[in-house]
Amino acid sequence: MASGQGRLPTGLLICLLALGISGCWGSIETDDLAIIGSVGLDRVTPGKVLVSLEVSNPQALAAGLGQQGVANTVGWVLMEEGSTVPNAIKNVQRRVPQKIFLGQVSTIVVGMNLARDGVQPYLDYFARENLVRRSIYITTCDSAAGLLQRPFIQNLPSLTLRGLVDATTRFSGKSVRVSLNEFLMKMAEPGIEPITMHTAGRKTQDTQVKKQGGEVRQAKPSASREQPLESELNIPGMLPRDSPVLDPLSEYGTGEKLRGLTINLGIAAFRDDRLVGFLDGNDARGYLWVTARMVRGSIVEVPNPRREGVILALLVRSVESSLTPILDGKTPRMKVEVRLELEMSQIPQDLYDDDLRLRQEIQAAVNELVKGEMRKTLRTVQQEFRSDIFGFGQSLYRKYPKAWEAMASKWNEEIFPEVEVDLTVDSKILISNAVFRSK
Amino acid sequence: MWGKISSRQLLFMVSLSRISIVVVSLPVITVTKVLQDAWIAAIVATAISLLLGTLLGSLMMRFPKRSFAEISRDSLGLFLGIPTGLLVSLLFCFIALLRTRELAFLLMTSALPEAPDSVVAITAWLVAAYGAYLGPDAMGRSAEFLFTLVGLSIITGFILLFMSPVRPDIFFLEPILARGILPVIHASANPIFWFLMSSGLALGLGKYCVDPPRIRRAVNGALLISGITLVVLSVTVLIYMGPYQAKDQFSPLLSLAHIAFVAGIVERLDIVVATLWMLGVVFDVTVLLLVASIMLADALGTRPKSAVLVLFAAGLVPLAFRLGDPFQLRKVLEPVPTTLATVALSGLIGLVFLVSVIRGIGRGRGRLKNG
Repeated sequence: MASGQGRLPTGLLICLLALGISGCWGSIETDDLAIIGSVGLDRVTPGKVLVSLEVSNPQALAAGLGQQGVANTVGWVLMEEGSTVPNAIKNVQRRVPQKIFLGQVSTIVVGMNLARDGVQPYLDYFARENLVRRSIYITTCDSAAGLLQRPFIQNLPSLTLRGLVDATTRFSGKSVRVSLNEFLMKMAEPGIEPITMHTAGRKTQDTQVKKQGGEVRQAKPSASREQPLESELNIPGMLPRDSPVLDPLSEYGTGEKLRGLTINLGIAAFRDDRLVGFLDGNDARGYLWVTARMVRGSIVEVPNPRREGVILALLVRSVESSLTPILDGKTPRMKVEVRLELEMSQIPQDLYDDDLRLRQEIQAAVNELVKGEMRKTLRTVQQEFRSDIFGFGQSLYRKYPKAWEAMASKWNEEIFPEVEVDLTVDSKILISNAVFRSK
Repeated sequence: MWGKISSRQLLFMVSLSRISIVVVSLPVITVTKVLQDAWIAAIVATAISLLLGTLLGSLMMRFPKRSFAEISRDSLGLFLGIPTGLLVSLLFCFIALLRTRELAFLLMTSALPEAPDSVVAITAWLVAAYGAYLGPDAMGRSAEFLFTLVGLSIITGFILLFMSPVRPDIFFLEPILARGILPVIHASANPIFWFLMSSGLALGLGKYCVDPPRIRRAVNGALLISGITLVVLSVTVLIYMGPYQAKDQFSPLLSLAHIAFVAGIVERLDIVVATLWMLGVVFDVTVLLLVASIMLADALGTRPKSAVLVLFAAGLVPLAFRLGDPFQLRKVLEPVPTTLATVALSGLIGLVFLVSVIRGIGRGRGRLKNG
């Protein structure tokens, strides 16, 4: 291009485009955003959804909990009801002087009542909303609104929940973390049903006070209550509506200190988008063995094969499993093979690491224990839940797509409960850790 | 007068154009219900487009330093040649407008919810018109830079995805061909059309290529690079999101980016993907408008820069009046209309090629070498 010719249009274009780079259209400063850390979904009125939003106060979070006063409140849980999630959020927006911002949401908590009625219509909002990441975690509990008011160690309930998701699922071996993506994927895929983490908030002293007809007294100015604009809705086990987030280590209703306010119990099982039951404790482990989601670091306790009443502890190093569908009759069968590697974690003084026979006996005991846990969970899931959370149908669909077509419509109700499962467990103790006791 | 481009720059321009179209929207997954076989459809589409690319490249090599509008005028005569050139020019312009609207919709729903879509669309159209006005040499140089940027970003995206807590399931690709080959062919219709449109850029840009004997290789190279990218990304989306969920996404790659995060490093990979896609689309619209202008100018015998201004002004009308919405756009991109468009465009190119061979017009590669 000749230098003189192009300068005018280039200059004009630069001036025009420069107008747009001072900020995006309708730009909003960070200070003008109400950052939501966690969203709770509950059902109180049939056909409606009660949305709880945990609004954080970044300045108070940065300043710490030491100071007194309203400005030091680290966050609030605001609730409103609506027929749809976006409308309920807009109802909350009416009393928040900043724009509600969902880009930092880390967890969605679904209350049991809503979960039993079906979550798909409500999760669709989060799937469509571009600000919400699909990597956020989803959990089911007794009351989402209640859970969002029980922080522990971390200042905010959302940080507590996020920490629970990371720590308890990775290190306890009794639960599982499920992202929104995984939930939506399992809801859409044939032959597999979704699950979520199952959490529970411990019943608080405040609830007891309310049940006895007393008034909940908030001791600190930072715990002053807002009044909701509309409906007076209360869920059992829930603190007063729009209560500020409580101090992590104390409950202001009575001033009594309580610890461990949110617990990760296990797994919530769904059929399509409806909650059908919970697998807690060892029942959750049964699921984790079958699906190889048992994490490194979990503990297996088996009885001492040499002496009754003494328990040995072994640490899980790795778990692999394979599901093989077999179609040789009217009802398909499943072959589940689990391989696990372990290390000695705690054994009595009179047992020796170099005793190969003992090691085989312990391995056999572990095999029986794991099989037992899997059998129990399979029975519950097949007979009570009638929901294929293991993905037996999915493996059948992948191997025998034509046969699956005929079974798909009656899989959960009729065929899955009747599926015979052959269990094989092969455990191997690899190392003895820092101690190696010889005879 | 516009400067020339090298065959390498042509390769980058065609690759970028196609990657920006088929990679983010992944029509091979979203347009039909081919589900887990989408990656096979991507392979089929790449193979067929290589055949069409060979036809197109051969035509351009037979007529070095001529655009398709000039070739059709030479081969079919003024009466049929000029409308043929105009038709192809309008097709490129229509696709450029369609992509601009698509960009505006995506930005409106993701990054800039407050911005009016017509403002976004008109700004993008203005930038594209300015790029087209600068000519093929400027676009060729930008392509070299952008291609490197996009390539590095795709590789970085894979690394981040691998580092994120989400685990893929390779068995989502099973059962293979459970519904037979027909759905696969059906699903490949849309990418084939886009492949043809991208390689069709050579119909206009070939005229400015300094080494015409390498046009076919450049076009096929670009188709191969973008084809491999499409296959790899289709597989990635399927194994991370599952075929049933992936098919319901407006942009599966953007949804996939919503899953990937590495705490403390990248929390919002989707924003990176959206930015890259935006750059890619604006580049694609620019090149499409450039080629449409070259064709229009050659068909009517005017200056290409004037043609850019005319097409820019004409395009403002549908953009300002927001003609077409995402629901209508999705209908346009379904297998039947795209197959018809592919047949029509490749039929036109084939016809011109056939007539030129029968009439003995144009010079072969050997004769070109001998002067």
